[in-house]
Amino acid sequence: MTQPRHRFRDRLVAEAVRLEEDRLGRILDDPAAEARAREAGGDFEHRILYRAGHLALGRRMESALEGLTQARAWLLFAILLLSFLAGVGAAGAVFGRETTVNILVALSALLGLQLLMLLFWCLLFLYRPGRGRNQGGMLGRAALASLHWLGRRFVHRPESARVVSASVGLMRRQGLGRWVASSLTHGLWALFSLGALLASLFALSVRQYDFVWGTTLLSEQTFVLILGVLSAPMQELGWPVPDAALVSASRIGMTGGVGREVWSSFLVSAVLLYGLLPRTLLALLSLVLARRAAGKLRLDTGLPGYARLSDRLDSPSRSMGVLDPRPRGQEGLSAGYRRQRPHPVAGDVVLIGLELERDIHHWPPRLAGVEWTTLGRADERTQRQDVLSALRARSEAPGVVLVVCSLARTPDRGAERFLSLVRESTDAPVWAVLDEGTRLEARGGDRALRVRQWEATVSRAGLAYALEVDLENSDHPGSRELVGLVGQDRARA
Amino acid sequence: MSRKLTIAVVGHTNTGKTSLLRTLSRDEHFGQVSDEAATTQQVEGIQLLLSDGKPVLTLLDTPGLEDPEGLLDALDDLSGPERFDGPERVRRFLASPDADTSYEQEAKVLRQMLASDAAIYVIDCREPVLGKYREELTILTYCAIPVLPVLNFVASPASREAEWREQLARVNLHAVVAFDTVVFDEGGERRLYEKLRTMLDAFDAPLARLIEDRRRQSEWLRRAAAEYLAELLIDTAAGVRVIAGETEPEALRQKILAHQEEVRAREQETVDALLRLFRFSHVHYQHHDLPLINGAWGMDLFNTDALKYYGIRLGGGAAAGAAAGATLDAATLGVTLGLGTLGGAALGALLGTSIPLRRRLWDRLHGASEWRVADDTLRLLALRQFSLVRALLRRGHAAQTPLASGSDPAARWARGPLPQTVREARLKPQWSRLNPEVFDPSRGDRQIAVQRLTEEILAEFVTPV
Repeated sequence: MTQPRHRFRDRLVAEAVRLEEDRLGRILDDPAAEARAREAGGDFEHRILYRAGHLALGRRMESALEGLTQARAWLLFAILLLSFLAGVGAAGAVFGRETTVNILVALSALLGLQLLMLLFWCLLFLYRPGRGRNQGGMLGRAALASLHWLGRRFVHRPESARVVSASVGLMRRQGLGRWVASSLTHGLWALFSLGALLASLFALSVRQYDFVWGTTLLSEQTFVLILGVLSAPMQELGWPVPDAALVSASRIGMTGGVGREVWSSFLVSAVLLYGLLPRTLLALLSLVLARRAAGKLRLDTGLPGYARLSDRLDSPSRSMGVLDPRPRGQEGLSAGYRRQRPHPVAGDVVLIGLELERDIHHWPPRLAGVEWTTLGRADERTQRQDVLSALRARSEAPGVVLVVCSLARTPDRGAERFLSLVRESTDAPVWAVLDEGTRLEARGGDRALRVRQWEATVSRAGLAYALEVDLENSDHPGSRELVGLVGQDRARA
Repeated sequence: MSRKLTIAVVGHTNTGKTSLLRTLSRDEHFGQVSDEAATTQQVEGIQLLLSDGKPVLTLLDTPGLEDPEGLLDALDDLSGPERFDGPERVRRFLASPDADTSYEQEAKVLRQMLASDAAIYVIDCREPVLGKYREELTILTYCAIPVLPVLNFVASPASREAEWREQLARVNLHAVVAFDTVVFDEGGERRLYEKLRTMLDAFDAPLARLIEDRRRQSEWLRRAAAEYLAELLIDTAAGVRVIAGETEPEALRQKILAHQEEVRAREQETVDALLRLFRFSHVHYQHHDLPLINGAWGMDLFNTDALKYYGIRLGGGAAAGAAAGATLDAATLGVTLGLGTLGGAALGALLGTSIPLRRRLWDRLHGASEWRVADDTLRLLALRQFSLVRALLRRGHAAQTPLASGSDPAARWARGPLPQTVREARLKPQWSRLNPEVFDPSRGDRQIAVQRLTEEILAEFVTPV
């Protein structure tokens, strides 16, 4: 399943939904949207986005976003227009009523401030004071902040307010805000430069100006140096630049009105080369980087608002259901065991141990007042066969056969089969003696439950009787009962 | 690779096969679990998914082998004069009438083993190494697929791990994993997958992806849990009630109690969210009557015994609160006079809030007081949430016992100054959901504080690898 690419807008909607749910303090229940998100597959984020898009709230958020995008476009247009007009105004101030234009004043009015701001932007960009905050130039930041401020003031629908908050939140991540603010900053200055350029061209086309320069504090060399630096790239491009003769001829107090074309071309070129061009390029670059950051942005799925959705949308496993159904007629296996106390028995008492936990040194167990013959332990396949053949080989049937079972074992069909085989191998009654209950309890098992399970097994195997004992404790009621049933003095009983 | 890795989980009856699957799949509702033979009598499958939703591994839960001795006899009887190898013998057995009658349950297991790429053999290592288990191991080798023995219940004092390892080595099973299905261990789970990886060359890539995915998942889980707690602590620390000066003592008491109730509700909300996050359903807990509500967990947040239980020395704020609240009864111990305990920070509290300064000064002049949850109550809240998260991190999805809470008196949070972010929250009513009239979730400083606190809390959940 290939995952469709998500747009920034989808993530914005999901963020807005999260903020609203955060505010409500609960997840909005929409099983239909959740089911569709689960079916959509993909990673957790994909499902979150899918769910948000299919919630009624998500659709309201989308329409709010639609409205906000429109409002933002108008606002952006207004800001850009303002800065264009500011550029026109700056040019107007330079090429005012006076017919003499001071070159230095013109340069600093048209370029000075924005070059200074560009330098500042570069410095901020390189040093990044206060990491994690967005620096995209002060103008851009101010514009962004005012957009958000305006958003909060003038947005009345709660959905729109959430969308604004969500976009503020997303702007903090992945340097997105930085690039958005940067593109705004550079865009504004580009428009300013464009305004200045067009207004200058207009003024220079329809009116005649004399270009002069003068300085009191700076030396003449400094002015020549500034001019040289500014005009070097123009010279490379083959554009007309003022030469040394023209520079000295244009000093205030010299004969005015020389080299009008060269000076005006120089001024216009400077605005183009140092204002419009770099700002436009930087604006475009920032826009590309902002788009890339927006494309790379992923939701922080660890946020409580999203984590809360994990058990609804995401699962580390998927049940495949029953692949091979249970055998028929095996349900309700455990039949009840009718506890019917037998009479004391006469004759030999024969003992068999089945899968006991106690080691072989504690076999056969001793119980005061009882004499028994052991046929051995039946833990292994060969041992079981030996025990059974020994039982069959007895010429005379014993009084009773006791199979000592361990309550620590879970009774299984193997044990049941062995008990049936013992029963079939002798004419004597066969009883199950359930021992080692203390060992089961030591590991936290439920003794009463286990006794019931064994009684069911014993009854299915067709044994005459089962009793729970503790062969290590002759005071245990079961042990006393056993002594009463098979003990030496039973004849008297 | 088009074919998906399939692993049959086999073992004697009642050794915890279904429990293992529940734990590996994080699905506490999978199959049926009980302490008796043959709880599972059917074959049920579950797919483990990567976080992109793609299945990577299919685990098959099989019925227990109950009568390996009889089964081995049946398999050996098939030999006759011809010699068959293991898989052939198993195939012939499956075609025989025995497979549909007396050994139907075992036949299901063998059929799945033949169709699987590997088997996990689950051992209850509290059991002695009995003949029937050795016979089972022989039967498993007949199927000629890699077998990974998993020792369950290693954490039990009755564990006979060494005996089992020795026996497994005797039948050439040297790769063994200890993995308790009830006491979850992230490292154990990873070792289990690593072992499978070394056994199954053809599936190296998907298993590597699974290991990496589970690692990232657990990191995500820890972070998400830490962030829940950070939010809770910030909300509680920043929560404040301004109560007018001329309030009657009884009305004042009622207002403070109402505030305490809000804090408790906020904690319960976090507990519910944590349980869901770790995929332990709340219903399950209510059903089992967890002490989460009425035992140690239910210990009241504003109770002095609760403080002592978590090793928090009573002093400072709580004592001051008790002294200042001489006219109030013990129920108000957990809440202290805001300005009284904030001391020098009081001015900050006045300035750093969006409740209009004018109004607050007015309130102050007219004897209104600010009530906040005491430092020690915050400590208690933090400590018991930490121990809840730690318990959840160590809980297998097969666990049936109630959650027990443990106190950890050595914890950094029990004494010493509270973290900077929490102290800062004291002065920022806008950070708290408990102050809905000024709460602003989109504030950058709150987000930064939550992030910082999350990192600090995360350090509490780091487990040794």
